[in-house]
Amino acid sequence: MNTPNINMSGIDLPGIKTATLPWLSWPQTLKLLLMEAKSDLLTLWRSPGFVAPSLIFPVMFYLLFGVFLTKGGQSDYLLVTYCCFGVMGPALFNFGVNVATEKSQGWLTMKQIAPAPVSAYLFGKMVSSLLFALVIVLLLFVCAALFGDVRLYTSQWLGLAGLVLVGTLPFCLFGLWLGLTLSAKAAPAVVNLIYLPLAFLGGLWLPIHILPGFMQQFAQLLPSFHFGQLALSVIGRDLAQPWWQHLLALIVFTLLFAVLASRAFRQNRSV
Amino acid sequence: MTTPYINIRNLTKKFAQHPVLNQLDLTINAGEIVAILGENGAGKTTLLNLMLGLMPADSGEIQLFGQPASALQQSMALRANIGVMLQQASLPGNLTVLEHLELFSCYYPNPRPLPELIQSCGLSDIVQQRFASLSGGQKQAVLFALAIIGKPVLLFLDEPTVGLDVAARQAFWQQIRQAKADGISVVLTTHYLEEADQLASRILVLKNGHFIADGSPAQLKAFGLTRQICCCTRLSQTLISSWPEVQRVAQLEGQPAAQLDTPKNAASGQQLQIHSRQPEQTLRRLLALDEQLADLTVSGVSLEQAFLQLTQAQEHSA
Amino acid sequence: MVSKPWIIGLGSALALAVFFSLLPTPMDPKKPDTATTSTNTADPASFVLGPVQLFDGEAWQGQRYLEVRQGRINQISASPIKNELPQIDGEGMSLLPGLIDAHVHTYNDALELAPQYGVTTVLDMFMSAQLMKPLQAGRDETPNQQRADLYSAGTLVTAPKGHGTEYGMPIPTIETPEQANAFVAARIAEGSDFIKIVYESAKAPRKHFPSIDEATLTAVIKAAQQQGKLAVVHISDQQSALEAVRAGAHGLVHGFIESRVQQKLLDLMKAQNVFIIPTLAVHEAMSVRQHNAKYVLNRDDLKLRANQRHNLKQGFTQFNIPPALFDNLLYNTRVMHQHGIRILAGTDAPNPGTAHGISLPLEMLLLQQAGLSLDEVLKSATSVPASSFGIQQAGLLKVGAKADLLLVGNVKNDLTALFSPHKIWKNGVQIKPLISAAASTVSAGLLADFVQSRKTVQGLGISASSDSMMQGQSSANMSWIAEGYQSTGAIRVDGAIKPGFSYPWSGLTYLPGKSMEQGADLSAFSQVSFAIRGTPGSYQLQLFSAGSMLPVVADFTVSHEWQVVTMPLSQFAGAELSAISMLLWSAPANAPQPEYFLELDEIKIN
Repeated sequence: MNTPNINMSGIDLPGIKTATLPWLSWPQTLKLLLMEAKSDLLTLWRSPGFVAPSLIFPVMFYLLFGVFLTKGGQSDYLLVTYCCFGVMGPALFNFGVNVATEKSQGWLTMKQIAPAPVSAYLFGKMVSSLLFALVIVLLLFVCAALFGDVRLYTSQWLGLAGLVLVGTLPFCLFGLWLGLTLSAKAAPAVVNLIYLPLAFLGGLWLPIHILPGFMQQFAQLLPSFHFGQLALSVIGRDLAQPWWQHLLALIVFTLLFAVLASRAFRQNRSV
Repeated sequence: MTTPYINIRNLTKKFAQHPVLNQLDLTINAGEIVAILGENGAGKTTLLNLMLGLMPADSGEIQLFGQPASALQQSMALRANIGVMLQQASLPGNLTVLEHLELFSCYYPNPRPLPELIQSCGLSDIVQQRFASLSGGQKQAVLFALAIIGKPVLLFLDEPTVGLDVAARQAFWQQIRQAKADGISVVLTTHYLEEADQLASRILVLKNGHFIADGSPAQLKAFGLTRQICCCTRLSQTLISSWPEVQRVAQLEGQPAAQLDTPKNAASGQQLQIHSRQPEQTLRRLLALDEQLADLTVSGVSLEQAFLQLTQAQEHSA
Repeated sequence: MVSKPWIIGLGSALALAVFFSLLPTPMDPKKPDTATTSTNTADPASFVLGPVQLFDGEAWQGQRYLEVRQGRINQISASPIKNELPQIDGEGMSLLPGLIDAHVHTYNDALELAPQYGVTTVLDMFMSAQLMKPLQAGRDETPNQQRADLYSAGTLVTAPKGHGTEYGMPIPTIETPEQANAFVAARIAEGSDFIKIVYESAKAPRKHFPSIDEATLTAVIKAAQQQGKLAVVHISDQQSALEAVRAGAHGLVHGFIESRVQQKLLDLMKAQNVFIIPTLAVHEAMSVRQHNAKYVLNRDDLKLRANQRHNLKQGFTQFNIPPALFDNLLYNTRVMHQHGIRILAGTDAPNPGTAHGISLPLEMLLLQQAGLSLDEVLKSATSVPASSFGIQQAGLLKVGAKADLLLVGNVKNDLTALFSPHKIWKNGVQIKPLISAAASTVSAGLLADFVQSRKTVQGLGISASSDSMMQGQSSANMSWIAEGYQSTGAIRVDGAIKPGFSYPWSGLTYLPGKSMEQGADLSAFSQVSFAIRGTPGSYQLQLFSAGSMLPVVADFTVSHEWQVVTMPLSQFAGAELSAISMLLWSAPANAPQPEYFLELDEIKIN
């Protein structure tokens, strides 16, 4: 008879250990993180309903508005804003819609009962979202360089890519909060209803100074606006507001969504 | 005396003021294979969710390995010692069986080696298939493999064979027997009497929010072998109920037996429903005593009726 | 299994590095690309310019060729650039970034005049907030606009009845430090790019106007910093300057003339990296009054409007500044410069003694006189104001910058070349010279007799006018009446003159020229006459010189009967007769009763 592995070391102690990953060795932890990332990436990659819109829409819209229909001189401005628009997609949808779906399928409950750390799951989703975001950014760069005659210093290309990728964080948390709060049926509709207006009203589709004054004021409330402005400051095409104000706004949004998401998470656990 | 694996005291859980579980007690020790038997809606899944700390109780105490069930959320060690198959769970359909197994095995510091697990769970043919393309039985097999991948000491199975055909169900029972042989304790919920009978060392019957029976399969076998005899006979119900192997006699139209035991109905006969532990004996008596016995059918007793018997037996013995 | 992720990781990193190194940078020459859309071929803002001697805003780079595409500099190369774009010969002349005037006031056609002398960006230190936002538009892009880019302070920050409130434009004022945050926020909401504060210390040797106190100054500067804007301060004396710098000002927008700068202020300015815009030209015009005549007024080949020429002859003489005090300002500027304090070139145009555009070279000559080297002077009008005010779109000639360019004869040794700019580009489009500035000519004789209608024989026309247009309480209504003096037709005005506006007026205005900016040349004539009757009393004829809002006034009397009033033009001493924009017949501010009427006919000039 095989003796089962009774690892009761944590149980006989008087207090319960609130452990995240104290008992997996470092190589095991690394492997876990990589596996979560790989699993989520494979799930995404094998969903045509995710891959196609994520990659195609930003490229398509950029070519349309930023290259062929523009009166010139806007291709670099719109490259930046469409990069922001493009990376928001995987963040909001992978964390928004997919978490809601996985929750409704009972997959999250299974992970809750197994010793699966939530942080590893979120890490995996973050990595896969970032990889998609990177692919989108690179595709847009290629379009901009080949068709839009956009020229930036190498430091600007790199800085833009880096900044835009880091800037997905508040949107990942936003998506996470939505995914934990919405039902699987409602999630796609709601996330779409948020994603597109957020991008448009934040000045990511058409330059913000084309929109009427009151809309420009309203944009100050939107994370997408601050994201776009911060990214635009890399090429010096942002409005007159100082860059640190946009950074501060994004930090505030990140904290806000983190608090909302962790509250929703605790409510989901319900114990 | 070692700490019981599961210890529940005075558990009450209400949904919209209606008590689904009412002052329920339960103790399960190491080495038991326990089946919780109940009709649909009896509260089996609710009980399981409470034991796993997935919802809070309204009152009462639930302990798992001597710790409160709510501690499950915080303790990796606790979670590693149990394996669970939930009824409503499904896995992301895009990943293959192997990818699911690989991911899940990463959660444990000392998981079962994958080749051996695949072999023993019968997954060798479907290892590269995507989860969404599997049949119902194959999906359950994968979920079972995930439940035991971490070498748990205690397995929770929630209605594991619902919707499976006979062959799949049999294959699954074989898996559980294998787990039993490996020294894993099992708590499973089901509404299949035969399943409880096949697998469990102890059966608990859940009705009206608490356990109305708690015993070995042998006790239930008695009720499982009860047969129902329907016939039209001139014999009086009083006579038939006096036979020792007869558990219950009822008039088919639902009128109480006493009213019909009158001479003027004796000649025309009455439709009766007889529950007998030894149906062959009862049939011999009927055929011997009533040459005009008619409309004779013999069938198995439903779970509902077996439970009724159980209840009445307990009440009578109390 | 562990090595596979490492291989994937390293391989991806390598691929990314290669990818990023291949992305095109502005340094790469562009091949003519038929795949792109058609905007390039006929675009006026795309061309190649060279050879030029390039000053990039910081240093001379030697001979260069410049490629401009769609209004931005695409390439700067030491060798000729051959492509499909039109080639413009630079003839080896000096190419500078479009100049930045660091201290102006914007109204009327300021932004159109400035680029005529290569000033393509202006920093405005007080203007009407309502006019600001539309004029600020386009400065981040390269639209085709024949005007300078505007960065503005909008409404300045001043005390009630302080400096800034005397121009007839109602502006908000501030009294206490507690109001600072809201006041600054309101300015930023109006569109202010930076905050300009007027300050005069309680300990200043000479008090010019009521001022906010030091506590309020400090609070406003702090609020500006917190809200992300630069805070610059207008001071007129060293004590106020010292307190302003202590309060945290980023810059001073005037030099001070009454004393020589002390070490204390120098050290403080240096330590806090405070810059200064000395505005030498406007100070020179109120003291020495020789500079403009020496370089500009003695020439008649320069492109100047009559009203600009008129303004350059003026000065703030009412302050009675002895000429010797200007040496203090030159000294202060020299010493500050030697101490490494940033000096910015700003003109304070269009105050008396200055004119938009041409005053910047005049200012630059004075900075040279104060001891800045020629290269440093060029920087003070290009890269230094740009970096001091955080303006990224102007002040430097580099790839990606807007094509604001000034092509002049050899300016490496002689700044006066700036008075004859050869070509000026704004956003890559050449600035067209404004229409010839001469005032309209007027024939002797009849200006208007209103025979059949209100139409005048010469000039733009006549209309009713009162200070109600400046939120005053007066009124005026004009009508044509059939019965005139000796013939049919006259103009009647019914109005009331009431206190309210600082300089009340009510009556009729007549424009003798083809436009109010140009005015009419009346210098050949000696008198103006007109027939008039109305409510008896004393009235005024006010003559306005083109570009000036301060008229020269002479009185005349009106009775119930028609009378011909003849007024010699010599009565209007001080008016620029070569460019008279307007004649105003007005009731006097001190009229015994508010209501009046006038009937006017047969306006003649001889």
